[in-house]
Amino acid sequence: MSGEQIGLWAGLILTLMVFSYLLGDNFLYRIAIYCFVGLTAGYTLVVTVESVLVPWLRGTLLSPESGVGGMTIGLIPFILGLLLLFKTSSRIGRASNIAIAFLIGVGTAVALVGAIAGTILPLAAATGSAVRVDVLSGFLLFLGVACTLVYFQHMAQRSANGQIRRRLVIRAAAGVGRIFVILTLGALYAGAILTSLTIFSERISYILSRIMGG
Amino acid sequence: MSDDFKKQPPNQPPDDDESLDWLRGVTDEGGKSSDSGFGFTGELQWKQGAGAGDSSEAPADDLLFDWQQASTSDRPGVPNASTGFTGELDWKKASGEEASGGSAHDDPLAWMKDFNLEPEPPSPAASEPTDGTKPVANDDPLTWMKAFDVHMAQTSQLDPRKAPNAAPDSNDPMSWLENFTPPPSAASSPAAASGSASVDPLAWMKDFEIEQQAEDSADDAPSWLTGADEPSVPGDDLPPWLTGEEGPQSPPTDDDLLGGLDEALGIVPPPARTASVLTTDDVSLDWMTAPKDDMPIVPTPGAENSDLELPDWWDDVGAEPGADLGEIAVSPFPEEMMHYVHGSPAAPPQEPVPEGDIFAQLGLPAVETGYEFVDKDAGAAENKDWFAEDEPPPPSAGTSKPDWLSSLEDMSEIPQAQLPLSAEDDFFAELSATRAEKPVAKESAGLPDFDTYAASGLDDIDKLLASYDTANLLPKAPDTASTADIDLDKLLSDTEMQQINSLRSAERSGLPEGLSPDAPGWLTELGVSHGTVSGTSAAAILRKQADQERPVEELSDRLFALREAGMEMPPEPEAPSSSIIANLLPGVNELIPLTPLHPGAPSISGTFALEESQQKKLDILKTLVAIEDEKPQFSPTSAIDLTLSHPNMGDFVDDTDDMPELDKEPAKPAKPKKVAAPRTRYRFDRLLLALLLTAAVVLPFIVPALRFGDLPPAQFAAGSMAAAAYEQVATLRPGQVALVGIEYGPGAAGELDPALDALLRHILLQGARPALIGGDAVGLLHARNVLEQIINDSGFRAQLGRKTMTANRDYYVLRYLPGAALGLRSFAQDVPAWAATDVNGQPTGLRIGQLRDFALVAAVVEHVEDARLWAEQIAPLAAQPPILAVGQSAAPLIQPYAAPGGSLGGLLIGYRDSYTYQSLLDVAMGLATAAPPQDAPATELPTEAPATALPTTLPTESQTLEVTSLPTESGVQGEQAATSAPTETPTLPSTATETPTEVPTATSAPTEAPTVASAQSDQPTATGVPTEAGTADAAVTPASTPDGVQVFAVVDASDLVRVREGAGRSFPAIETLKPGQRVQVIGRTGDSVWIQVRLEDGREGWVSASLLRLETSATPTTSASRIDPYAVVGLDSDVFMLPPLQEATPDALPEATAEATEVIVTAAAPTPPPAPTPLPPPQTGLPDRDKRWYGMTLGLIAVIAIIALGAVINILRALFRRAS
Repeated sequence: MSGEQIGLWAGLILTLMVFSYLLGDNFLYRIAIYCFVGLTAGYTLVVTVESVLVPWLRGTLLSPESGVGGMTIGLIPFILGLLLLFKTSSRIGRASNIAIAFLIGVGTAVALVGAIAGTILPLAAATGSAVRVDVLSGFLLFLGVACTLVYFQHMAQRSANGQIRRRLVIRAAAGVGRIFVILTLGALYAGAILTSLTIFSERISYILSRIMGG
Repeated sequence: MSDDFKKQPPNQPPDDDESLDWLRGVTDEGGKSSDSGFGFTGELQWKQGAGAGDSSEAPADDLLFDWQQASTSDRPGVPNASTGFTGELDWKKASGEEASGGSAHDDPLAWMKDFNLEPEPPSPAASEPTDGTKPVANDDPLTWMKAFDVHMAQTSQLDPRKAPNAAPDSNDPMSWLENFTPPPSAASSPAAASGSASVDPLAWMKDFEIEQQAEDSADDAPSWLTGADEPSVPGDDLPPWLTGEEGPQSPPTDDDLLGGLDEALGIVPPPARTASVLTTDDVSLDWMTAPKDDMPIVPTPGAENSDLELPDWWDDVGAEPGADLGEIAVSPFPEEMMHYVHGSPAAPPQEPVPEGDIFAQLGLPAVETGYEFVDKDAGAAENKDWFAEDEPPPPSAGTSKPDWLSSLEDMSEIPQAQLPLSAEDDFFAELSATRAEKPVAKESAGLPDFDTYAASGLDDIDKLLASYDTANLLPKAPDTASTADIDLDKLLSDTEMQQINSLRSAERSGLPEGLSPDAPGWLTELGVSHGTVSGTSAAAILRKQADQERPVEELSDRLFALREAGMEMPPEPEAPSSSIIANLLPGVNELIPLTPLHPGAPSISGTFALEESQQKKLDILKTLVAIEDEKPQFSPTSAIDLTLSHPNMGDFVDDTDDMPELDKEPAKPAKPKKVAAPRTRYRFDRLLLALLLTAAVVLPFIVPALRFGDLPPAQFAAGSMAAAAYEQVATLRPGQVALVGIEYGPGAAGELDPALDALLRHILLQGARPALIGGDAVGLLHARNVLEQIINDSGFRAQLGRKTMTANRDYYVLRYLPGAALGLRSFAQDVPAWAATDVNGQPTGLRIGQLRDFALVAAVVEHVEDARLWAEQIAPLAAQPPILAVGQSAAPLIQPYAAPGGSLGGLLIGYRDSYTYQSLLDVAMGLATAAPPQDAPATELPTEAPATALPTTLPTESQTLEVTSLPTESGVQGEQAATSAPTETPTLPSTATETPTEVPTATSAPTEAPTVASAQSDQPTATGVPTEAGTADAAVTPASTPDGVQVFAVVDASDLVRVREGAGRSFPAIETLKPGQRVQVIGRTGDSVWIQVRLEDGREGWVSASLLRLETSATPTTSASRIDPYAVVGLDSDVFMLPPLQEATPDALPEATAEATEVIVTAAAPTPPPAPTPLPPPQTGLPDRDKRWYGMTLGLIAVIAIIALGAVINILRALFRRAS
């Protein structure tokens, strides 16, 4: 039996072990999950070292072309990474906040810029263009966006009698927005079911091909 | 010694300051005077200084300590005007209170703890001059005292009067003690035996009191007392005023002593004590006349005329007459002290044994430490006499009240209208008035620092304040009315007074006993006791214990240590609980509030949940202490129970019997049963549903009858985002690099692998090079496996015309991008760095300068977040909008990005689009990778491609093998044509133009793909051959080669290859070709699946294109040359150019059926169509992707049915419950 065949049969066995969760949490299921998690962690570590750390070292610290500035830049990620290790200590754990603050700050900035340039502006432009191209679709799109936004706002006015209620228009728009939200969530749910079925059918096909040779 | 000595807080140096002054006088005897050597208290020093001032024989300021000078200079003429009772208490501690066992404000005898330490047996080492100071360990409880010694040394050096008297060893801080303290025996000093004073610094003193006859031994002395081997002064341990850090001008303020108590009271700081330097010769005579037999007398060394019989140890200490054993200056005016001794006026009335006399209360013998050199009964009186003689009369002459009380009286005399009083001020005004009414025992004036209250033990501020009769303090209204505009009649009326009394009585209930309701808040908080044993005062507690317990001296060391530890415990609160725990562990209930312990299951009620092991331990403990389990009277209900008990929830409860009945009495505890092994409870309903779903998915694989529904369309709908994605990939040119992002893991492989496979095949078929990169390390590994499977497919390589494909040349697996958005952004902005190496760290040689250099950006994404990141971080920087392939679950949120004008250039969703994509590729490749039929000896592959055979003209007018995807009017066959309404939109090939040609024999000018063929939809060819697979023959006119360019093909297979009559497997084979055999190519189908060849004998047939390798020849006369598909863009790629999107038109399908297609023949030169052939038998086997689709379809039906059935059942159950 070749290595490929062994791998295929191992995949079959592991698949059946995972499916055994249908009978409840059991040893076989846990073994399969642990194997998967362990292999994933191990491979990620190897890939990170080979694909991230080593190239960085070669480009900065170990590069003969890099001067002092390059070496300094090359050391910064390792210093920040070392600070993260201090998180395990209660005394010097605060030192890791520097690295965490750097990560969060830069990550937030990148995400913010990306959201503006890649989501807000394009979607707004697409919404506007859709209105021009197809009136009906554009109207529905605009209606859905507007009503959904209204649905997620919770401001209200206090009337003279002390009651806090939203205006009728606002409530109506929120109701429509709620319908859109329900439809969206329903679509997501249906999509999740389809995804699950797709993956399940692939596994069934795999099992049958192993068993029946088809 | 009493345990009261242990109670001295270390922050009371002023007390010891005075006592040390007193002792210092003793030490100075040895150094200064030779005829007397008995110490006095600091009071004497103080008085001596005052007397010296009065006699003008000594400059008062010079005699004073610096801080004293500053203080006295501030108050000229009133040298002893002590208006602050806190300071009053300070000096009291050092004066008469010492003799009477007075205490500090908190602990009457606390200061004595350290004071009694002073009679430490002198050490020979201590008698020797020591230089410098050494640091003192902070853990030494007597550190401050040692530091104080050094401070005294420093102070003496500052005193000009002390300078002449400074002994050679004046720097020795403990030298003053050497001439004074009787030496205990070595055996009786546990501290000495242990060698550490910090272990039990006072233990040795206990023995010292008992064994007075002990000999002097340097080894017995505590190390800290010797001063030789013990470090001295740390400034941190001393108050600033003591260490002199604040300069000699800083007196020991009340803030230092009592923590700002006077400030709280609004009282003027205490007066500075007048410096007094006492010569023991002057003052020793009086009390030496009648010393007690057991009193340790400390004469001045060298006093030969003394009648006293000095002990033996004295010789050791004062062996050298005249030697300066002390560091404290001795007064050069002995007559002054004699004046105090003999010229004292009438002694103040003898006070009874004060309350603060701890010795008397404890029943202990008089403290025989040497300082009590007079009879206890008369000592105080004599001292007072000394004090009273030379002191100037206090402002309130005729009374013995201290100055601070006088000041209070003065304050009370101020009209209230002029001096608005706060609550506290008012309180003290009343207090002063009350005290003024009391009989004054001491009539002699001149002793402002000494009064009867000190003698009566009222040195404790708590007791002092608590001693005032609150009843007398209450009627203060008349005082107020006397100075204010108040109706006195009304105020003093019975009604008003009753109301006031009732009100104050009510307030008094919340106050400590004996405390006026008008007492300030801080006093109330202190919980001042009135000397009762129930109070919280430490002195009161000690007194109580002293009355009940045996003397401490009788305790053994062990019990003594235990008692000391117990003294550290907080006061025992009243009314201890009678629980068993309280009996077992008295005091625990008060320290730690008991928490109800209810073993059982955890709940939100807050009770403890014990583990099994803990429960066992608890049971054992209960058995030991005989505690019965407390039956909870109320079983708290959980939130779930409360929710279920709601009326509206009645219909939603599965079984009403399961509802908790709150009103029902708790069930009897079940008898302990034998614990059985936990059984696994299977949810059969869940298992049944899972089996049902599994069967629905599996059965279509096995049972063809259960294959419901239609397969996905063979083509994308025109204008769809999927079609846009396909077209964008189709624009790739050979050699270009396409970036493919991998953002899914193995868990989503079942859904997204087909999409990735289709994308990669398409890219490779276009001659481009894919470069994989991703943020999922494992996903990247999986994608590499998928890519390698494609590369290892010989059939596919044959399609490409490549024998082998190597990494980092034909494809790239770049690096793993950690950090999600950060990683993507970094890659987008620094592509060369990330593209320099592959996932294994090997150099790729890929020269990409920026993101725009990628001809295509695509990504296969599992999650919405990752798809959004690609749309946000990559799309704005890419040359073209990227295309994404996502799963069904992410589609609803990603579709807006793919709208026209959005961030995405195309979108493939789920398995359906992947299926269609692969169908298109199959059409293009002619199912080259499919397994050969069983009955076919050759490697000819069947085809299921819709046989829209578009006639093309291979060699066109240009001498190149141009793109032959011509604008045609084609019809779509197969199931798609059968299920979808055809349109009339003729499609234009998006990949059919401007293909650069570098054919060696061709012109270099690119051509516009001149198409000779003109689609004639109204001219269906003769052979519309329907097949099951929708394959139809195409009447292909061989390409004309006016310029003589011919195209040849070489069999690229290991087996024989069949030549069929038509373009399809349904046609019979007319010939076989050997591997490597060369034939002339005369035409092909529009999808390039079948190649029409001309055999050597002139016959023409069709061969699967996957089995041939095309060659071309510039001229008929030249031999065919092998065309490098990468060197020449034209031939290889042109031949296998993917078909354009085709849409069926009514015209193109004049007789369209579900399985029949109409072949549209367009040919530059009409050729006879192949002979019609009968329909082949239907195929029985389906590829797995079809089975999967059918399985998914049936599974989806099952899911819908299950959900619907479940909803119906729930509705029915609800209805039944509502009806019932």
